[in-house]
Amino acid sequence: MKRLLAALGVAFVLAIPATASAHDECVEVSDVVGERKCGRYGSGWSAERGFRFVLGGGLWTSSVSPIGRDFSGKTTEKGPSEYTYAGSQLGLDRVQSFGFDMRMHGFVTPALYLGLDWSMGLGVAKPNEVKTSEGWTLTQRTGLRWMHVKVAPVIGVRIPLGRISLRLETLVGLEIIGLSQYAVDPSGSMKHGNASHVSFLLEPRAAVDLWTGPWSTITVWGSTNALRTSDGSVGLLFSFHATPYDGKFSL
Amino acid sequence: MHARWLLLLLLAACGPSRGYQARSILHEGDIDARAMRTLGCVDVGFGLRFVGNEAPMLRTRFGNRCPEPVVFDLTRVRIVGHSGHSGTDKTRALAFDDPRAEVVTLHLDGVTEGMEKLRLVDDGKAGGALDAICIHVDELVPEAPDTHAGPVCFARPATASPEWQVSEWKVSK
Repeated sequence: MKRLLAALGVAFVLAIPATASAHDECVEVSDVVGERKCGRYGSGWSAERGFRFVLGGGLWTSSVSPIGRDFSGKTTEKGPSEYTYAGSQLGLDRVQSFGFDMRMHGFVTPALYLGLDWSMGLGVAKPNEVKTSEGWTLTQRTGLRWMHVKVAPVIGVRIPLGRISLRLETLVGLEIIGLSQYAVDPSGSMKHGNASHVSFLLEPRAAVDLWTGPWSTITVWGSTNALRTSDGSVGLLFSFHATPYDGKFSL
Repeated sequence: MHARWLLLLLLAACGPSRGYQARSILHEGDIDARAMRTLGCVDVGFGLRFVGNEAPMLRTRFGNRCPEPVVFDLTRVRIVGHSGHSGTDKTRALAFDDPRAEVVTLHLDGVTEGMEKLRLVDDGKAGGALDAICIHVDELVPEAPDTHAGPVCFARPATASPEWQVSEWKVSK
């Protein structure tokens, strides 16, 4: 019975790539149109039979204020460990972070695109000592203890202007801010505590793409959080485009 | 992992590729320069091959010099078979063998090149063996301004070579 199950398992695993292969690759009768089971006429060169998508990655920096954000945290060790505090208790006006940004989007019309943006930045925060209502005392840890993460679907429009394009877009997703501190419980025992604030993100963004080649751009972008207009981000993005000039070079 | 992605993207962003450049379709070496025509933004070149008794196979290479996509319509290409001698020949129309109706009007992406191989259907074999085949491309790129590109003609080779040679065949009016 075990052998039979093992054989079925192996057959199943082998069947997966076989199916994918039949779907994705040519059965090479010949490479003449009409005499092969793939390689549709126009694939690889036509606008209609290609998919316009963009993959990008880059660097960004953000400046956000913890004021008006409620943090909830817990220590990394056993025991009753949860605590909350208001961001204003940190005594920080703004915190700057730097990090990586990853992005992909695809065009649903010649101008409109949908995609996903993920970014993470780290920064140094020097907060005041915080006393929580649960009796914990939170103190500063040195190093990159401030984390700013955004995960958001994105919708935008592109305006082609030759060697540059303008893009206006909005990120609609989640923003996570994390802060790692030392947490001292009422008995005086010190632990590592991680607190975070998660909020809805609505971020309008403006971007200028410079075409460095038909399939590549360097982008400068800037944004603000529509729900906290004092927060802002700027970044530099390097992108690969599956279609030259995204299928439209100028208006 | 992130560093590797970034490096790849940086290489892509600063890559040397400029896309299709004028006359680059000749670089592959399978298109005779005399079989190339330029229609507006588009370079198009042909090669013709017969293997045994099979139908002739037309190799078509094309590239768009411009950054914008352009209409590329192989259905508007007229292919004429000639039998007899140049100038006093009999002609008959040939068509693409396209059983799944794939050959339709499409846009050739900006600075992009492509290649298609198509068999030609010759329904007039009773008219005798073909001595030349001419491809009339004037309407291949409808947007091309004032196109008067001459036909690309291929003549049966003197040797047993399967590759037909570009010819200055005099097309009957």
